[in-house]
Amino acid sequence: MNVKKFPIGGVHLPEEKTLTNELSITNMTDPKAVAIPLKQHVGVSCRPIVEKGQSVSVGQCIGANNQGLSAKVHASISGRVSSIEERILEDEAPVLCVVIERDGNVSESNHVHESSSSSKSREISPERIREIVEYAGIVGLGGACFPTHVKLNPPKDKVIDTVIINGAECEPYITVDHRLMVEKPQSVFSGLDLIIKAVGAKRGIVACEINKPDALNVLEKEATNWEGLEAAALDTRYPHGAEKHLIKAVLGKEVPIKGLPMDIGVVVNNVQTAIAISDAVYSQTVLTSRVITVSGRGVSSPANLNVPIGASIQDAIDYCGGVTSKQYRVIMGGPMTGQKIDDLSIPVTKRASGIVVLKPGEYGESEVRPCIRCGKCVDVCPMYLSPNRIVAFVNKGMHDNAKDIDIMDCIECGACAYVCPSKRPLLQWIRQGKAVHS
Amino acid sequence: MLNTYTSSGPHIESKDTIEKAMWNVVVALILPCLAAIMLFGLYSLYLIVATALACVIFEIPFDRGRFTKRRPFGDGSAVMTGMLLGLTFAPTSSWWMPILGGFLAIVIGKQVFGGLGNNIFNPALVARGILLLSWPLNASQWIIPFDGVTSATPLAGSAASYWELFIGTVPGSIGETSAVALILGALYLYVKGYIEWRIPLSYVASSAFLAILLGVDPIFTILSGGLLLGALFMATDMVTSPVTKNGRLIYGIGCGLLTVLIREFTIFPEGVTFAILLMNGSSHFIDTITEGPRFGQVDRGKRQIVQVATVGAAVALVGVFLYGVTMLSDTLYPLRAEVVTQKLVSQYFSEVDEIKTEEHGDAVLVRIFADDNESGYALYTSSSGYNAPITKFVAFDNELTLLGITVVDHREDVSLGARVTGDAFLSQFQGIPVTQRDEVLNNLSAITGATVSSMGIARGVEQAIDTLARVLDWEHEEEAPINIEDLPEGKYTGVAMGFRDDMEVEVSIEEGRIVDIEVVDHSDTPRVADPAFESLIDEILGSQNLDVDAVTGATASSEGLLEAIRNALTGDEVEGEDQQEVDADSSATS
Repeated sequence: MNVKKFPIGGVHLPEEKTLTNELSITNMTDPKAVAIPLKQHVGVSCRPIVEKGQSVSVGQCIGANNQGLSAKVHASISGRVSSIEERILEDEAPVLCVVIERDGNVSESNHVHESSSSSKSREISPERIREIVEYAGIVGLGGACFPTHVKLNPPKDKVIDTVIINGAECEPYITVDHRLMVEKPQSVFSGLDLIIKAVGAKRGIVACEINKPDALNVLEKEATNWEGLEAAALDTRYPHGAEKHLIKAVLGKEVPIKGLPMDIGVVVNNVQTAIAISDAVYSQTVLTSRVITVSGRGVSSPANLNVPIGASIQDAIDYCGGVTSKQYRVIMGGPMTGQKIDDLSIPVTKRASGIVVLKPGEYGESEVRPCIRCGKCVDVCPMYLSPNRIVAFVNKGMHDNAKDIDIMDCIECGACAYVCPSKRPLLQWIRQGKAVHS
Repeated sequence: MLNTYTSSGPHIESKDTIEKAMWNVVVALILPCLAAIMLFGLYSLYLIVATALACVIFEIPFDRGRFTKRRPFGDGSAVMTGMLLGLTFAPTSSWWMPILGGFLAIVIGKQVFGGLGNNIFNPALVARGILLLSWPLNASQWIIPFDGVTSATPLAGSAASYWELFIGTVPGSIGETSAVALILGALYLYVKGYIEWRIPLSYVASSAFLAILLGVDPIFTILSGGLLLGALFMATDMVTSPVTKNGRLIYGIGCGLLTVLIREFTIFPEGVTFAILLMNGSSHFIDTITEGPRFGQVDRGKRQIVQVATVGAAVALVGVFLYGVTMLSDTLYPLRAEVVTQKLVSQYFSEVDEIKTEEHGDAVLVRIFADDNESGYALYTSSSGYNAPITKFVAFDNELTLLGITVVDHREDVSLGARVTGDAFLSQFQGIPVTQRDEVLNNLSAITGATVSSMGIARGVEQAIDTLARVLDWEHEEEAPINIEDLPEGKYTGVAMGFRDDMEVEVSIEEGRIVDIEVVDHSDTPRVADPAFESLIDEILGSQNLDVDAVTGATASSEGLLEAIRNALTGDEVEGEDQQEVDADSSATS
C-alpha cells in the first residue's frame, strides 16, 4: 500500500495505544446528574429553552440560538432540570450549563427526532442533510467543534472537489476513531457519502495511520462497496490529524496560510462526525453522547466509552474503576494538545476525545533548562516556524518581533515542546504570545 | 486566565535531555582521544583529562546546584568543552595550558555570556583562539608522531601522503591529525541524531571547492590541519550554530570558505579556529534571514528571492569591504613606504641629504646621497620564503659592500621561519662585497628546521647584488649570443632558478628553429606561473629569439624560464636521440 505523509517536520510519538486499542466501545451507564454546557461549539452560546424544574427526556432539545454561528444542544439523559448555572470548563471560561438530575428511568436509546420521513432515501437533497445535521446538533467531533451544518454549506464560489475523513488519530493513548473505524466502517462510509452529497464533491477518502492495521483492513474492505470512495494509509507521524497536514499528506496540496481547506476545494471531517451524520440521517438520532477513550496508567481499567454529554470527568473515571495511584494528572483530550484538569467535576463535552490519567513518570515534569539552540523544535515544526526564536521574543516581551516571525501561524500541536531536550514549555509560551495579539 | 497556559500541553516529553546530548558528544570524542594518545603518547592523555577537569572545576561556582554526588561532572557540557579544547592542543604544550585553557573556555567563553546556551562563540574555540594569539610558540610546536622530532604542521607544506593524513601519522594538534578517528566519532553522533549532515558536508565541500579554485590540493586541504575536527565537532556545536536548515548550509559554506581564505592569504597557517568563530558571530543573523517560508505560504517564491538577495547582499558587502580595504592600503602604501624607507636608510647611513628610489623589475633601488655624492645604495627585494615571499631591505655602502639587511615583510611561522628575521642570523651577511656574490650561498649558515626561510633570505641578497650590478653596469656575467640557426637538431634541457625553486625546461630544435619549449618541472604557483610561461613560449616560438620581456606579475618566473632556455641552448645540458653526437657538436660551437 502507498503510505502517505507530509514531507517536512513532525515527530514520531510513543503511541501508548495498546492500553485500549483492542477494547470494544462500551456504553457508560447514565450518571446521577449531567451538566450540559450550552456552548460546546465554535460561535455564540445557545439560549436555554428549558426551565428549572422542567422534566426533560433524552434527546430533547434544551438549547438553541437562531442568531449567529451556533449548534443545538440536547438532553443526554432523562430527568428534571435542577438548575441552569454558570460553570468553569476546562478552558477556564465560564459557560452556562443546564444541570439535569436523573429521575430513575435509565434511558435505553437516543431520542428519535421528528420529521424522519424521507431520510432513508438515497435521493436525499443537500438541504435536507444540512437540516437534519443542524437539528441533531452535530459539531466537529475531532476537537474543533465547528458546527457541521455550516461546514456542509460552503459558499457558492468555493467548488468542493474532495472530502477527507480524518481517522489519523495521531494523539497518543486515544483510540476512539480507531475503534469506531473497526466497529462501524459502514457508518463511516455512509457518513462520508452524505457529506459528499451535501457539498457536491466527487471524491471521498478515509485516511488512517498505519499504526492501526486492523482499521485499515476493515476500511479497505468496506471501500470496495462504495463507488468513488477510498481508504488511504498514512505514515505514523504527529500531527497527521491536523487538518492542513492531513490534506498535504493525502492530496499533496497545501492550504494557504490563514486560508481554509475549502479554498483548495477540500472538506475534512472527523470519523466520529461522519458516523454522527450517518446516524442522524439513517437512524434519526441526535447527538447526545460521544465516544471517548479513558486511558493512561493512572486509571484502573482503561476503556473506550460512549459517554452521555455532560457527565463529569469523575463519573467517567469512576466507571473505569477509578485511579490507581495517589499522584496523577488528568488530561482532557490527548496528552499533546489536551488541557490539564484540576477540577474533576468538569463535564465531558462534544469537544473531548479522551480523558487521560497519567501517573508520575508518564507525564513530563522535568526542570526547565536554558535553550541550547539544538534546533530540534525547528526540525519538527510542521508549520516550518522557529519556535525557539519565537519564544525568545515572547519571553522578552518583544511581541511585535514574534509576530514578524509568524507566531500567529502556529497550530499549537506541541511537537516543539515535546522534543525539547531542555524541557521548555514552548507551546505554553507561544500561547501566551499569541494571546497578546488576539 | 493564567491557568490556561500553565495547564496546556504537551503533557508528555521526549526522553532526550541536555545531559544525553552532551555525554554523547563526549562518547564520540573517545575515539579521537585514543588516537591522540596512540600517536603522541601519554602526555596527550594528561592534556585532555586536565583540560576537561579544569573546565568542570571552573564551571562549579557558576552552576553549583548541578554538581551533585550522583552527578559529579554536572550536565557534561563542561567535560565536552574541555575534551574539545584538549584535542586542539599541540603535543608539546606546557603543563599549565590546560588549566588556563579551561578558565578561558568556561569563564570567558561561556559564563560571561550567561552560561549554557547563551554563549555566542564556541567556548573551546574562544580558549583556543586566545591561546593561539597569546602564546603562539606554545600553541604551535609540532612533533612527528612516534618520532618526537619537532616539525612544522603539515599545513605549511610538508609532503605527507593522503594515507598518512587519513590515519593521522602527521604532525599537528593531538586530536586533529587522525581523520579516521574523527569521522568514526562523528558518524556515531550522526546516527544518534546529535549532529546533522548539513554543516559538516557544506563545510568540507566548500573548502574543497575554494581549494580547487585557488590551485591547492583539495584532499590535502580537507585532511590536513584542524579542518575535520572543526567541521565535525566544532562547527556543529548546537549552541553556536544556526537552527534553520538553509541557515546551517550557509553557515557551513561560510566556515569552509573562510578557512581556506585564512590559510591561503593571512599570516596564520591554520584558519579553522577563526573561520568558525567568525561564523559563530553570524549565526543569529543567518537564522534571521533564513526564516521560512511557512507551510502554506502562497508567496513562497517571493520570500525565497528576498532571502537569496539578502544573503547575496551580505556577501557582496563583506566582499566590497575587503576589496575596499585592499585598495585603500594600496593607495596608502607609497606614502607609508616613503616614511619606512627614510627610517630604514637612517639605520645604515648617518648622513643623508637626499633619497631617490627607482624601480628595476621587481626590485626597488634606493640611492642615498650625501654632500652631492652617492654615499650608498639600498634595495628592496622579494624572494620566496616558506609560506610567502620575504621582503627585505638590503643596504650597501658606496664601495658596494653589504652594510646590513632588515626584513620588512614576511609570513613565516612565528616559531621557526620567523627566526631568520633576527639579527643573529642576518648579521652573517654583513661585510660581503658585491664581487663575492657566490659567498652568500656557499657560506650560508642556515637555521636548523628553517632551511627554506634561510635560503629565501640568501637568494634575496643575491637578487639584490644582481640588480645592483645590472643597474650600475657592473660587469657580472656576459651573456653569450645564441645562434639558433647553427644549433644541431635535438632536445636541449636547461635548469634555472624560478620564483621558488629550480625549474627545468626542454627545448626542441629542428632545422635551425625552436619548434617546441616544454616546462618539464617547476615549483612556482601554478595559477601565476603557467599563463606567464605559455605567453612567453608563444612569443619565443614566434620571434625565434630570447629577446622578450618578462610577464608583469610573474617576473621571477619569467626570468627563470628565459634563463633556463638560455642555459639549455648554450649547451649546459643536452639530451636527444643521438645524445653523444649532439653533445660533442654543441660543445664545439660554444
